[in-house]
Amino acid sequence: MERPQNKTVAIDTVPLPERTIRVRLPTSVAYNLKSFQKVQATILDRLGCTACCSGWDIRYDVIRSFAFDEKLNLK
Amino acid sequence: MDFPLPELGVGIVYVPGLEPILEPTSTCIDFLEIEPQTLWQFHSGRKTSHFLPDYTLRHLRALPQRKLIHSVGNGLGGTYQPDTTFISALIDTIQALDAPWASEHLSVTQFKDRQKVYHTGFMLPPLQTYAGVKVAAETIRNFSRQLPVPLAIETGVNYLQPRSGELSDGEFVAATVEAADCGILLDLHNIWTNQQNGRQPVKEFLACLPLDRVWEVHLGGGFEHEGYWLDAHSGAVPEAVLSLTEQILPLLPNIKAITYEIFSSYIPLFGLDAIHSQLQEIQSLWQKRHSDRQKYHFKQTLHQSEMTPRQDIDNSLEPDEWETTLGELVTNGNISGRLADKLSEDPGIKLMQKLIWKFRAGAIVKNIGTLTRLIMIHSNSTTLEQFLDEYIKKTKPQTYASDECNGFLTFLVKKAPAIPYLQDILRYEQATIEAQLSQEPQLIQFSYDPRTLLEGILNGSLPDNIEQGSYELEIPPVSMAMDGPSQVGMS
Repeated sequence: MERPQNKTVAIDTVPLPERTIRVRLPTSVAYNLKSFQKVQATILDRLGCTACCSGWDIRYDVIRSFAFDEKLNLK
Repeated sequence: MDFPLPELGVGIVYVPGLEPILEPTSTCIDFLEIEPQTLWQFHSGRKTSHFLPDYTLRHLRALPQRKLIHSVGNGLGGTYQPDTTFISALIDTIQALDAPWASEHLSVTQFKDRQKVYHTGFMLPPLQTYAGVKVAAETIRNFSRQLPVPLAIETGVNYLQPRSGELSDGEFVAATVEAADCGILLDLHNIWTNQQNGRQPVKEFLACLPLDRVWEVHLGGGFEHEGYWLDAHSGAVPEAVLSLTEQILPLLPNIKAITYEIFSSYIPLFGLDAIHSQLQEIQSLWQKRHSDRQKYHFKQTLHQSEMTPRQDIDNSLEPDEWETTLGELVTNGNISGRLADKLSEDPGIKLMQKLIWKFRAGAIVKNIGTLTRLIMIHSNSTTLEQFLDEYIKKTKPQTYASDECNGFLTFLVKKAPAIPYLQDILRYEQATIEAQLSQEPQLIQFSYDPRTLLEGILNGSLPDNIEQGSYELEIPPVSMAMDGPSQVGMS
């Protein structure tokens, strides 16, 4: 079991059973950085301000096509 | 009028993903324009609620180009006054990146309803009357005097049809900038878009402007949708706009920069090579900016201060009524009255509702992609769209994607649709957001190995078997992923 490097914050307050396994999630998975539908996966502009222009945001259009292309290719 | 600002050349609005063309050897990019709020995070529990994470600042500073600051999300075209925490954060960013000037939009991005302030989720047009000029000029002056650098305001897009009793687009901008004594960021694609959509022709617009106040030009691309040209920042700058740029540049005595804009989600579609070519084309226009201005036929009207105020302008409408009515209409609010009834007839309202929907849905699917993918895997994209639609129609837009995502998560917690693993993934997404905002690892409990489920969702399927047991998942803060510029981007 790995020791965390930084202070950790527990979301759940129910006491843990004795044989609890602590697992760490790779940041590539936590922040969806794996290549997915060829959409650039980055960290820097996550959670920022959304109203940046006056145009057409295609992020939903791109993700929606996921359900129809098993090979994860952008249509 | 002379502005002692440095001449920067040709640049691009920075979005993550451009790094391959930002190498020190690049000859087509002289500067980067940073939209700070897209890179800020908002955490109400922090001393500085709006902040630029250290890892982001390190990354930006490591990029070799000079930086400009282009503020978004706090339009200066109306009655809303940006709060002190926002302005402090903006000043910090300007100084941290040593920007020689800053810009914001001559648009409305907040409106008030019953003492509560809402975000519009879009750059809305201000009220184009003398009352509107007075309010906008005062807002700009109040903002500008607090900044350590000069301020330019950007000419905006307006998807509404021209209304009787209002100033023309050019008259409004000219009167406002003269009253505010600020610079102009001339977005040529915006005003060309307005012309395409039935508003003032570009050359008439330009003829109204005090061109000596223009020190920056924006160029971008768009596309046609249901009879409208959209300012989509989608790629190629239209030839007509490039031609306009070539004509207008020699007439701008104080021009210091041309900035190209493209949204990050269009980069894979347009391509980095195409962006590079576009920038080279803009560079060649920049090199010709001192061309003989006599070659171009361009007649400027009287300077705004010399013009007699028009008697046909309707000053009975107050700017705050305009902002509230327009803001409520485009965010599916419940509002009635003469102005609301009149504006509701404009097809631009439905267009803006759709565009706002797209932005809000885009923020959600980008930032809580595990949840949205789970819904699509189990149900389908129609179900996801229905959830998004219900949430968006019931709520107002949020300034920050973190709040938008948390709002959607809360909505689904209450709705509790019968989707396997949903409650666990909702907690997971809440923890991921908190890990990023707090910069502290978050721990959540599972009754099975969560890695199997999460990898499965990421790859597009739900696992048949998951090892049961007591698991505690540690979600790292995003700073752990930022080991340096080379680590940014796809893994």
